[in-house]
Amino acid sequence: MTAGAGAMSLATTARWALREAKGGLRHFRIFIVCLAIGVGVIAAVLTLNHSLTRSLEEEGQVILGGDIAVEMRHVALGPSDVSALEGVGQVSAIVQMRAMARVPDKEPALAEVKAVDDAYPLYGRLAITPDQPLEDALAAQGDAWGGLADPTLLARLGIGVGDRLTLGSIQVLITGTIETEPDLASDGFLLGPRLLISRAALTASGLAIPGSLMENQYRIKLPPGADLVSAVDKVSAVFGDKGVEISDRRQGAPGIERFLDRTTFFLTLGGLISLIVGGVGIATATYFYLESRTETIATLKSLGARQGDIARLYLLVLLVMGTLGILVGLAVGLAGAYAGFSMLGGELPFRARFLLGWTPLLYAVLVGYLVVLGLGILPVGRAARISPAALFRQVGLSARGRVQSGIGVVAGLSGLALLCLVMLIAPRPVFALYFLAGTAAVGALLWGIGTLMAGTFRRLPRPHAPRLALALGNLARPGHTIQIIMVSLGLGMSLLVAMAHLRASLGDELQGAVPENAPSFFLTDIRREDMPRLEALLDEAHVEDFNSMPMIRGRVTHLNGVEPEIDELDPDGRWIMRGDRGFTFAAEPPRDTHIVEGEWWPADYDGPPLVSIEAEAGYALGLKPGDKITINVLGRPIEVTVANFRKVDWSTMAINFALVFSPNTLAGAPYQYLATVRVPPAAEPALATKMGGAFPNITIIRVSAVLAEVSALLGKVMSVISAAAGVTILCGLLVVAGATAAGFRQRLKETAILRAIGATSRDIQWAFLAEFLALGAVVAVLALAAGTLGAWFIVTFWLEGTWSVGWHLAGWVLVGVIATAIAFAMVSYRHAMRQPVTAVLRIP
Amino acid sequence: MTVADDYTVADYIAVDGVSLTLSSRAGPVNILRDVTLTIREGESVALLGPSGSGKSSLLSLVAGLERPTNGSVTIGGTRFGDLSEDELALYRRARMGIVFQSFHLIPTMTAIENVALPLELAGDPAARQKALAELDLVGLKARAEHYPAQLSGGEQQRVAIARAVVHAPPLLLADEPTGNLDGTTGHGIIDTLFSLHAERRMTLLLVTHDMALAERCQRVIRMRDGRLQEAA
Repeated sequence: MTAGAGAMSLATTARWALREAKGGLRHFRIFIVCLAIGVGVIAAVLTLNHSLTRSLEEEGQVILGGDIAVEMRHVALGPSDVSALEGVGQVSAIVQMRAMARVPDKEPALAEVKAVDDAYPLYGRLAITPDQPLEDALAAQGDAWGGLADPTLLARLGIGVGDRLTLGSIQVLITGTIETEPDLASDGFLLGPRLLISRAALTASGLAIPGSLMENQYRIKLPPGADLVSAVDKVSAVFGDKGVEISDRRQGAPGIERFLDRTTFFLTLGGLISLIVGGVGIATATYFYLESRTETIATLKSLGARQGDIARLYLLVLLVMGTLGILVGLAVGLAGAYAGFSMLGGELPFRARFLLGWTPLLYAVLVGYLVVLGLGILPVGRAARISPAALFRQVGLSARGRVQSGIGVVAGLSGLALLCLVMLIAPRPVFALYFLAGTAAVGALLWGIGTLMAGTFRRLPRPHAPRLALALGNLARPGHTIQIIMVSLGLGMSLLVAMAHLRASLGDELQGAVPENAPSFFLTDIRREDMPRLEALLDEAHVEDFNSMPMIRGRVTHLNGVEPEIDELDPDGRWIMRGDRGFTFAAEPPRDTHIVEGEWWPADYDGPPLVSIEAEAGYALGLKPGDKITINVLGRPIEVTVANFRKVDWSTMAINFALVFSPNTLAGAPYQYLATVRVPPAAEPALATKMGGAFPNITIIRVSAVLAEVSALLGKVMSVISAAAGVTILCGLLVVAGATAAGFRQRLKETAILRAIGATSRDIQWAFLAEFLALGAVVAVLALAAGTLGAWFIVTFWLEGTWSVGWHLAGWVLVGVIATAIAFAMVSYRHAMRQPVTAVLRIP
Repeated sequence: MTVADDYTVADYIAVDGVSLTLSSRAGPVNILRDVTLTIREGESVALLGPSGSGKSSLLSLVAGLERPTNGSVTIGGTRFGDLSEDELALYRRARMGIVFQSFHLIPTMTAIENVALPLELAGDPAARQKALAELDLVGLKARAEHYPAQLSGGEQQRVAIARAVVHAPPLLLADEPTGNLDGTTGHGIIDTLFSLHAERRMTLLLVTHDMALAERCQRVIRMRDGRLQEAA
């Protein structure tokens, strides 16, 4: 290089950069680890999602149970419709419903009954133990019908293979257990374990009668080479507006897709927080590295290197290190994805394969490079401006200050590109944007508080206690990394505190905060003729409360004579229009009714059909009293006038319906009853057994059991998010360790000076402890405040739930912070004391 | 820790048969070989010798910053070999001041905070006032709130001297105190040191390779290759 000549050649820059990178590797340990974690989490989450989504696509036929599925909730298809379907492909007809499985002297168990025909399964394999043909397993044997059960059901009933259970009015002989059910994923959330019987057995049980809560499904297997789209069109044409739901193998399990979408979303957010915290580490490591190169940069400039030469040189160093971090991240990410897949694989209700995709890896690599560029280029720009005069006086790298306009543009573009990429990756871009903005705001707040603290420490009078004076001296030092510690640890800790509160709030919502008068049981499929006997039984059992309402299945087809595009409706009202709903009728307003608009009809009303609609949904659908809606009940369209809007508090868990009709609307339609029963918790098992024995057809859903299921599910979700918070904290600890280590050379020298002028090991130990404990306490208080505020905001405004404080878990977070502070203090102290004074002070 | 008083004025500092051997990759290096010397209380002594002669190492043994491989160091009747690291630190805090060639001020503390350090360590409630008075004595009262980076080399060394004597130690050790300073500044520093020695009757052990400076001391001890060249 010659002063005054053109820029350094790329080859020379590359050679120097490699040499610098090699010599500076130890400065980049935290940089590489932080980058690797960020890239690794993104690569792992995206690869896992890619594998599962692709598997879902590949297994679409198996999951759906056919190429096309047609579903009717209330009644089976007529012979002409079935033969129309048979014109499209091979048909398998299935009925699913919930029912009570009973054995003598045991509490009945809720079972998800699936009645199949001989063609089942059209795709995939039903694995059963002992292995036997399905036809044989389900065949009638003497006075009993063959049945296959989920082992959980057998365990609940205390029976085994070869034993019998009662279902409705039939005996089911358990011929084996179900190991894997190929189409399980398309069945959504199941309240109980599976019981598989034949359609003939279900018919014989007497459970499947008009008005029962059941799903009739028809799966179609297309002939080889048949066009799916035209086949779907053909099926749609057969049914018109008969109220069937048609799906095809492209959306085999929308529920699972939604689950994967949400899981990916939360994990991506976790990855993004890790990346933000890791970003602090990357920026810090870059700053400290470049600061350590001040003398080299000044020397190079004194020899004629220009700003551009320096910027290119160190940018290349960063890119070399970045490449190293990204490669490590990809390896870790792939390993993580595989580990996650191995753990999830067994839990998934479909056969999944681990698949590598280029796109997820490319996204992770791009995120990595953009983070390196976005965070590294500004310090590089400032390093390029270091004056050669630094050789003559103590001038370090400035953390602020102007940079060349080109550098600023690259930094801005990198940030913008990173944001766009995140929007592209995140399943819900707008929410991700809010989340990122919120996290950045909390980060900025923590940084600001850190700056404020550093200023306060500097202005505080020096305490007389020498150890405190030393600690305060350390905290007030200009080069202290208080802000870095605040942000890097504070973010993760805040997240963990928020999780603790959310767990407490949602847990209470599900259990403790369940309304005082919540029912113990939901009873469905109560036949009209059974009602007097049931009332007598409950009366005899002295139940605390019993409430029943008739229920008919039907669906809303038109609003003011127009069939709306469901997806274009307001989500708060859309659910009313989607598929079958439960309708009821009443002469008097149901319990706790609060009319917000319109009037309730007279008890003896006999005019045109009227309906009372839940206010929120009604308004969302753009309706008002006087408007007309059309319903379809058992294939019969009925136009009904909206009489009033009601406010419904769903959280009371009392029976309620979005649509309550005037009694004459549904006159003549077959209906059954839905009821709630409340008894003291101790009396629940006995009453369940009694009801199960007396009413084989009534489905008994125990609220506490459902809450336990939901609670367990919630626990799993919380654990996943807590794991993400754990990764964030790990990142934060690494950043703090890196920042502490970077400033340690100076601290080491100061400790040696203190020892030389008479500080004892205890003085130094207490000074370290006081310093780190003060920092830890501030981080803990801030994390408690930020986490509590964030969780309160989410619970109160987003989830609209009841706020409960999880002090117990939050307390552990506090203990964790203090323990971490002590650990850092002790490690720093030991390291500082291990060095001989003479070696540190370079006394020959 | 107790400080024995059964020493004589003649052997306030007693270095007896001291050797210092350090290990290195190339094998053991003998820094000091069988050094024996005594220094009277209140005496000013210069250790003179070329670079690598072992004079700074001898000073670090006298300061209790290093332990000899063989032999003993006794100051004011206290055998350093009997003291733990912390007891040595307490001894330095109470009875010793050290001035380093590279000043070794704490860069994140102001001049007054640096000077007040030994007093604060000892829990002296008037540390700040005394430190300011000491800075005044060395002519730096006006720079009390300046950080080391804002001071010249000479000013930094004067702050270091103020720190070394603020707690009125009976022994002052100085390792090449003018080594990093120009001639004029160095003279000023030496004047300050010797006037303090004279006023406060401190024992002064000064390491230097400057003959002119050494000759201002009451006694000059020459060193070469880790040995004393003249009878101490």
